Amino acid sequence: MKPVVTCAAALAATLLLCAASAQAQTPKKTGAAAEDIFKTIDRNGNGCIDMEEGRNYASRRFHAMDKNADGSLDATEAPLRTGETDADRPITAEAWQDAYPARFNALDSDGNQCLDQNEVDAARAANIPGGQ
Amino acid sequence: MDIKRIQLLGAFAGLLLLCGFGEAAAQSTIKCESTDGQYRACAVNTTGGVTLSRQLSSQGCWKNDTWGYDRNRIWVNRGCRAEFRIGNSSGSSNDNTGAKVAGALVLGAIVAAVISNQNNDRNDYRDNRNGYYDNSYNNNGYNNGGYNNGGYNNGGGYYGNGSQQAREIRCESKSGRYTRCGNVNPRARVEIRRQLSNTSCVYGRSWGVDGRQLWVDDGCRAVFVTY
Repeated sequence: MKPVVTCAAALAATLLLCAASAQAQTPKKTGAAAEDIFKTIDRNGNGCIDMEEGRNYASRRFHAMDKNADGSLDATEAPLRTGETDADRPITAEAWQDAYPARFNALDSDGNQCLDQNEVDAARAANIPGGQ
Repeated sequence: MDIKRIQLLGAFAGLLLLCGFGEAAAQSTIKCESTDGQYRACAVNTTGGVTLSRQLSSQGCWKNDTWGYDRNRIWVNRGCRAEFRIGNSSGSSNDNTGAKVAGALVLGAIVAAVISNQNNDRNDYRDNRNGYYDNSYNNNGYNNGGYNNGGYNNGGGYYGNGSQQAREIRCESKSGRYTRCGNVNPRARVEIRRQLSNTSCVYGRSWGVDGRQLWVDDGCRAVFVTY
């Protein structure tokens, strides 16, 4: 009986360790991915994301999220976020597109119609609620 | 008799009014869609200017590359599907449906580290259609072919058999010379992932696919992606 218990304890410890290390790696990964994404979106490589580049990104993103490909995002494809209600779903492609320019302009703090890394970082910082 | 005539007149006037409104609405926006990746022209008077108001395709809509306009038409190509606003672009978007969409969602990973989960954001070149172009909603379910981290892989949907992978090809026209950069599947989609040159790469003019050959010309230098 005893060896079984020790074995179980060891297993639990290992699992815990794995979980801990996985968590520790998460922020690093996210940062790298975010940088890659910026580069991918910046199609002409001029160091900022213009309205057209951002729109193409937003559009690809919509279709990637629209897993059942019915042209709108339901609550399983785009889970409700805090403050949202059932009335906020589904999101049609049209609504998505209508939200885009306003969003872009809100982030474009210097108003030059192009989001540079600073503006993106500022937006990202503002977007992180509490932890993580 | 007189009453009937008046009624008729009234109905006629109503019809005219309706037509008038219909026309006004039709003139403010127009949908123009490159289905199956084909070139499409949409006849419309463009003297007031044209702006892309809603992009509907995941395939790129790039002005003067995959869409454009001249005096009497808007054209789209290579899978670009969009709604265009004719006339003064400063016109406010007339409905607020977009207001309910959380902005962070729209720009996703650009702005929100929290929701930059790899599933959504590293695979944005992958959509969920079965066809080469996402013009129809007739696919038979989500192609869960597994995510790869290249960001372009389509999860095995586009070619039916899942054998085709996204691939990047760098192709550069140096000193303005015509250059060929190897074979691509003639039925695959080819897009510019990143333009490297200052001179713009315009499909059909400074880059294209000829048979199976990807080519560039006139100083166009770019990293292409085929998928």
